[in-house]
Amino acid sequence: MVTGATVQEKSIAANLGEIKVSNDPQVTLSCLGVGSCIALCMYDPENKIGGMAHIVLPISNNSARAKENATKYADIAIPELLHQMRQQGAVRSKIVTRISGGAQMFNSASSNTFDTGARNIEAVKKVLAEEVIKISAEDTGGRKGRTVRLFVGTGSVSVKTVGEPAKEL
Amino acid sequence: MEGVQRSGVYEVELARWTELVGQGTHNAVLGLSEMVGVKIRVTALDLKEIPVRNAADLVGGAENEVVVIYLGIVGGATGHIMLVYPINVAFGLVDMLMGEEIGTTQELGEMEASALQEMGNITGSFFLNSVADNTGMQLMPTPPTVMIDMAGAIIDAALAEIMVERDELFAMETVFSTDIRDITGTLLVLPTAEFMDVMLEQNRKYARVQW
Repeated sequence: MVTGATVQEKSIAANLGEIKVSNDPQVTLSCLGVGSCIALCMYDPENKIGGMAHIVLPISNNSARAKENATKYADIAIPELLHQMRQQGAVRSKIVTRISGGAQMFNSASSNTFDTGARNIEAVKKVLAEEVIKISAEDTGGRKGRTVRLFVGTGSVSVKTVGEPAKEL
Repeated sequence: MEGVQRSGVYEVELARWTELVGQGTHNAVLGLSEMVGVKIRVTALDLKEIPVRNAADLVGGAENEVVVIYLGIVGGATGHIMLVYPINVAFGLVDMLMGEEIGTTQELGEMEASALQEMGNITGSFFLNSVADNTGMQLMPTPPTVMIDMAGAIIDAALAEIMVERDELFAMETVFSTDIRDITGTLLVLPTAEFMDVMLEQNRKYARVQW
């Protein structure tokens, strides 16, 4: 039996390249341990529908390779997240968009991964601009990993880094 | 093996690659043993093909706070080598490397990071030398970087590079430890798809001469 005081909060993590959407007010969507990836959070406050995309790579260039797990790419994940949110009843014009992530964890001398974080931030902003979607808040770049949570019940987004308390975005 | 067919790597070649990596790992652990002056043994060596999105599970989950010594692989092919330790274990390692009493190190300053970098250098070089010797490939490690952060955040840029090519990953996971002190850690080798192709091709060519 569930009493009012012990209602279980449900946690749903979007892993690398995944999209998660929910209209359940008990649900917390999350992207855990985000480095160079982007946690894209969208929320319709009127219909209380939240969605998250864990974006790994910038632009797909429509290559054949992009077909499998294509939502790892910014240019595919963003329209897909919008589509899934609309399917759940979200209204595009009401959606509030926040982004976090895109860190550069290593200096370029020690890594051959180039600056994936910066390229991801740039790509996400470009695609959002093409979709005519405004970013209402962002916490991007830097050299630290982040865990990003979107509370579907309230629409608040928290960003946590190691050794620091979570802050609201 | 379903995963092997999907990647176009034949079972016999996968077996060869496992053998090469196994030799490389034992060589790396030998280098590590010499450096810390304690006999270290490989307690588990597991080569597996996993979905890239699950890779953080290899290091205790994406949010797990760890110390990672990272080296890129450059030369004939590219990839990533990471030594992953729980924080207290990394501090204990620093104590061993610096000849301090266990429990002395409480944070990662410049000197502590430098000791761990040197350890990464030894481990990475021993590993790559063995693989290079057995395949004729030219492989070098980049200068090591040491960091403390969430495991997922540290590895995701490396995973992104792999995900450009494919969504499965050949991960080599080695757990090593010693009876005297707890220095359990994970050596993670993440080859790019190109690395696997080059290695198998080189190995085939080299095998005609050597074996």
